[in-house]
Amino acid sequence: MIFNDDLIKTLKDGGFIKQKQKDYYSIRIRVVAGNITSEQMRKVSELSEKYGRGYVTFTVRLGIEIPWVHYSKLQEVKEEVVRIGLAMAGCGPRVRPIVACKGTVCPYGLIDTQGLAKKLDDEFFPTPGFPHKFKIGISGCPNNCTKPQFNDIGFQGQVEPELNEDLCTGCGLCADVCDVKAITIKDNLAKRDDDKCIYCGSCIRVCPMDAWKRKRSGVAVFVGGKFGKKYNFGYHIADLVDVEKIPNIIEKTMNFYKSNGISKERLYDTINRIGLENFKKEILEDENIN
Amino acid sequence: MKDIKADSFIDITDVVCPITFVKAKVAIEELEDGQILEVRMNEGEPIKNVPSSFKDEGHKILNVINNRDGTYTIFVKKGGLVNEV
Ligand code: SF4
Ligand code: SF4
Ligand code: SF4
Repeated sequence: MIFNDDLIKTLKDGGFIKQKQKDYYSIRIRVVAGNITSEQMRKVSELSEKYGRGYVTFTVRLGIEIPWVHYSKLQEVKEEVVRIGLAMAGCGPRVRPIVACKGTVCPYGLIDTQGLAKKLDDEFFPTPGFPHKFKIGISGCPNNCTKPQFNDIGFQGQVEPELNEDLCTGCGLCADVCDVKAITIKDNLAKRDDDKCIYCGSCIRVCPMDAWKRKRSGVAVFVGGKFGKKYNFGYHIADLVDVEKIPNIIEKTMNFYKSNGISKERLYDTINRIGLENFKKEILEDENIN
Repeated sequence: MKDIKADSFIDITDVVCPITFVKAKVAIEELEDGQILEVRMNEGEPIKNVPSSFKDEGHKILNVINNRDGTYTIFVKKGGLVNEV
C-alpha cells in the first residue's frame, strides 16, 4: 500500500483507527456531549453506506466510528465529515473528547452538564502537547453515571442543602431517602451532618414541604483517575467548587501536567511523583475553596 | 398531624419505575383541583421519585406516613402548588 505525504498528514491529525484487517480504518467522529443533530445523524449514516459497510459503532466516549473505510478514501471521508459540521476525534497525547452525562435533562441533574461540556470542548479540545492523553469527564450528580473518577480530571455536580426550619414538619422522609444517613430527626426537625453529606440533593427533591432549599451548587473535583490495564480512582480534591472556576482549574492542571509530567506518564503518576499535597497547593491556591 | 380525608386511593406497590408515577398520575388526573389523592408506594426508588414528580407537576404533598412495613402513604392535593400562590 502506498502512503503519500498528504495521506500521512491526514493520518497524523488523528481520528483514524487502524483495524486489524489489512488496509482498513475506522473513522472516529467526535460528538460533543453525546448530542448530534438528526440531520448530522442521517449524513453519518450515509457516509457509513458510501465508505463503510452500512453500520456505525458508538464509542465509550460518546463518539461515533464508521468502520471498514479503505485507506485510499480517508481524506475524502474526512472532508465530508467536516462538511456536515462534525470533526474527527483525536487520539494520542492530547485532550480527548469530553464525556458528559445527560444531567441537563435528567431529574437528578444538579448542573448543566451538556452546556458545560460544550463550553469546555470549545475551550480545550483538542489541546496537544501532553506526556500522554488527557481525559475530562462530567457527571451531573453523585450517581456518577459517566464515572468522572476515571478521567484525568473529573467533575461531579453537587448541591448544598439548607433547611428552612419553619417549614419542616419532621416527617422524616428526607432522613429515610438519604443514602449516606446524613440526616437525623430531632425534636421534629431535620438535622444534616455536613461531614457525612455527599451533596446529592435527594433531600431537596423529596421534601414535601420544600423545607430543604438549594443553598449553592457546584462540583466535586477528581484528579488523576484512569482506566486501562492499571486503573485507579481519581483523588477527590475538592467539593462544591463554583462551576465558573472549572476552566481555570483545568488550565492549571494542564500546566502542571505539561511542566512536570514525563513522556508516556499519565497525570496520576505525575501527581504521585510530585506529591498530592504539592499538586493541590498549585491547583487550588487562590481558588478560595476547601 | 391532623387526619386527612382522601377523595381517592391508589396502590402502586405492585409496579416499578417508570410505571409507578404514570399510574399515580392517571389517578390524580381523574380528580378535580383541590381534591386529595392517597397513594401507597414502596420505599426505595418510588418514595424518592414519586413525591418530587408530583411537586414538579404542581401538586402539593400534604402528608407522608412511613407505614413501617416497607411502604409509605402520601396524601397529595391536586393542583395544590399552582392554586395556592
Ligand atoms: S450522573 Fe446524575 S444527572 Fe447524570 S445521568 Fe446519572 S443520575 Fe442523571
Ligand atoms: S422531608 Fe422535609 S418536612 Fe420532612 S423531615 Fe425532612 S425537611 Fe422536614
Ligand atoms: S444532600 Fe444527599 S447526602 Fe446530603 S443530606 Fe441531602 S440526601 Fe443526604
